[in-house]
Amino acid sequence: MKILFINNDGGGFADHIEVMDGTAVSTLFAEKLPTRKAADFLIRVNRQPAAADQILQPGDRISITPVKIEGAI
Amino acid sequence: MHALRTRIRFAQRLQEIWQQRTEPSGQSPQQWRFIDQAWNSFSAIRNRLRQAEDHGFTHCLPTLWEDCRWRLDELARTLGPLREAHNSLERMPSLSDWVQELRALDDEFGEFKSDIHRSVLRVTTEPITLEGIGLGAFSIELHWARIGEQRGSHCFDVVATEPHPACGRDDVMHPHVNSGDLCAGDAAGPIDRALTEGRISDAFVLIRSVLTTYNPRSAYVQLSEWDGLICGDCGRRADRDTSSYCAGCESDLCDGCALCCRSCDETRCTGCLSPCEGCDDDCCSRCLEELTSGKSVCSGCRAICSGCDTAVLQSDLNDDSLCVTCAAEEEPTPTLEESHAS
Repeated sequence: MKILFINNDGGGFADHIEVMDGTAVSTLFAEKLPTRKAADFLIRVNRQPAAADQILQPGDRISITPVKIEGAI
Repeated sequence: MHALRTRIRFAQRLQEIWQQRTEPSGQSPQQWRFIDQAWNSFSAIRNRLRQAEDHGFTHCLPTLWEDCRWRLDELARTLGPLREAHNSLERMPSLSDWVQELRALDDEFGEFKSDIHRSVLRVTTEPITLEGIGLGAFSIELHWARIGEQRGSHCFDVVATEPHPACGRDDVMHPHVNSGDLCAGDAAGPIDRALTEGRISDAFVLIRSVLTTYNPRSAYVQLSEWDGLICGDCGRRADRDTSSYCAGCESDLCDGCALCCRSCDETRCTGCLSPCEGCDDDCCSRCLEELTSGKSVCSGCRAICSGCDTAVLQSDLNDDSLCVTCAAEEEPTPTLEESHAS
């Protein structure tokens, strides 16, 4: 199935991606950001807070935004 | 939480703004002209290459192949921005997306505020504390008139609602905000993309993430110096714990500028110390006394003449503790015979 995946970490891209049916939010996170901790991110599905075990549905919009980002001068 | 009708009305407005202002660069005539030029250059080289091969001009083939590769690279470079622009076009939000974006803003920040006259969409963060220093809450203002003219975080102003500026820097309300401008650092790219694609709630959240994070390696003012003081002598910021103040003029002094009077040991700034004209030690004005000779000296260099009770320079007294004038008066007057003899 296809979902819209928005990764606001790094370059901050949004793209439609294919995921397996029955993919949970935590599974997708582990796949896309294997070295990061979910606690460091704001994860929203269809702009709403999502549980780790929430199963993604076709057409879902999932966004992952770091809660700590270093600014500069 | 705003009523749906309010959100729809404002969403329509935002949709119009984005459609007008985020025209992708690939749609500009200049962009297409670059692509046409690159393609024509490539075609011309390809024709020459074909002719050279047909006529067996092998000696010029390496140069033509090199030229051909270079033209292809140039074509690829001009096509990239066009492709990117079309990606953005595909993701241009619908009215429903805009309504949901506004709903998300309400969910994340409480309630957004809009100021049509100033073209501002505003949310307010919770009070922010970094490294134990309360910086207060911040308003994050999206100035939509800047969309398309400025990029990413420059479309936003960050305004302290309960200002707690850095010591001596009224323009710095946050380690990464100067005069309302956020220096987004690692968030610059994601904010730019989010804004271009109309994901305004993501852009606001990204800015909040920067505001709630401290990067000591790149701050306008270090938080360790936030509540410090400005040295009255050198003008540098100083840590309050290691600073002192001048007992004369009461100005704050950093560790390096805190001097002391050699006479009374009290802390003074450079301006409140003068050299004693007897021993040359720096002393405060309270410890220096002006003698009748006009010289200012410290207590150690001052002495009282036992003849006239006047304060004079210690070194000017003779062995009988008499000043020069009294010593002259004390000398016996020569007799008439002594005067004749001499």
